[in-house]
Amino acid sequence: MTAAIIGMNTPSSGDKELGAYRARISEHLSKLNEIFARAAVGDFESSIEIPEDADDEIVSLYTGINIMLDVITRQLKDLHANVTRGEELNQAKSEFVALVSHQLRTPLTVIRWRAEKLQMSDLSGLSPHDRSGVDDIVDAADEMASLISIILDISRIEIGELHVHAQDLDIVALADETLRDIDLSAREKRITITRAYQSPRLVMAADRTLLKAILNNLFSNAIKYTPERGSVCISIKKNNHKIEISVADSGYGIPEKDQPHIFDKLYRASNADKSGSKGSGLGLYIVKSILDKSGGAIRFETTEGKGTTFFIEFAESGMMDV
Amino acid sequence: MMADTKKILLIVEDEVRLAGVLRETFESQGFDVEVAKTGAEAFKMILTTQPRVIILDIMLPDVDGMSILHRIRTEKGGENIPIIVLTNLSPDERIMKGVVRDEPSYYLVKADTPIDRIVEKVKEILV
Repeated sequence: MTAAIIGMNTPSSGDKELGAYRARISEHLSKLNEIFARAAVGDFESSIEIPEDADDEIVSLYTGINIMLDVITRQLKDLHANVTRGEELNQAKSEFVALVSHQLRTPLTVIRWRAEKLQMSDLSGLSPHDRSGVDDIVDAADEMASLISIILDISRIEIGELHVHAQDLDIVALADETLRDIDLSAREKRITITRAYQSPRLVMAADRTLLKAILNNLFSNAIKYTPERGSVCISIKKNNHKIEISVADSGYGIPEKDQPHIFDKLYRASNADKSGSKGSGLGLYIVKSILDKSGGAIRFETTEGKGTTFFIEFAESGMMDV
Repeated sequence: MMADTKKILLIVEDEVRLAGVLRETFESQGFDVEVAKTGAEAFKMILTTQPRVIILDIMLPDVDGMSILHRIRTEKGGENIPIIVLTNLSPDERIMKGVVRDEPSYYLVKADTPIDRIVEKVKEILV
């Protein structure tokens, strides 16, 4: 019936009223459209101006929308302030941890070097028990130094202070140097280490300290998670414009359920305790963070009970600050 | 035997206990050791003793070790003295850039480095 009236050529007074009503509704709809279009792109700070002659239900609708926009705006501001505060607190925490750790290093160095000198001196006057006590001090100081370095590495990653300073260096020599550092723990477990280097020298642009941290973590893990009399093979090669370093062990392997998480901070595989050695769950997190920051990549292949191989890969151009 | 078998090593370190243990260790390995506790002392000793190698701390009471490193490189006779920056500071931007720029120099973290490894490093450099 209404449609028939609207469609008539000669409008009656009822038609005029309906036409005006339609025009007003259309105007309101376009206002609503505009305000929601702004909200859709994240602008909640606009509001709808309420015309003085608006009908009650329109006033109530517009007021409701304006209140809603206001609440959203305030909550977003609060949220933003909380996030910023959280970031600031985290930054302050990392800076504090870094400062304290640096302070701890000096007295620790005194303990370490003095104990090492004692260990190298003539201890024949001491009982075997006391001699092994000296060894314990050296081991504990070394362990504490490693922990402090890990804490500092994590702080640098979290403060965003990790930078890559690449210079040409022989990564085969660096691998050998790193192996010398962990030689004692390998010998204690009678683990055979094989070096499968494609050539006796391979020069690549690399940040010495960061690449050493990567190698040290991977080599120590291989020793740590391989049972006595097992084997570890380090391979370094250059193929198809890529440089690949791999570390294969005949160790416990990583259970399937743990595999997606091994690079997560503080994560330790469910069979990690088998090794009887302590771990922080930070080593692979640091390795992955450094590789992300320096243009490298890491992957692994593992079979539980048989062993794991980690492969790290760089472009021919080497490490770079990403 | 060459005339320069007298191996003068300059240790720039203000922490007395660390300087002491380094001195004892290197002396027992046949080095002639000089210790400077400040940057100013270090400069005087470099001129008078002409060390074969310098072990340099960064946090010193007067001058920052990294600026000492840079200054040695610009002084006559200091261009080629091998310098081991031995510090407990983490390898930040400034340190690493300085070590790379002012070669021949090396960076070692005190707490992470066994004392015999430092001796080994000095011997490697002198070969």
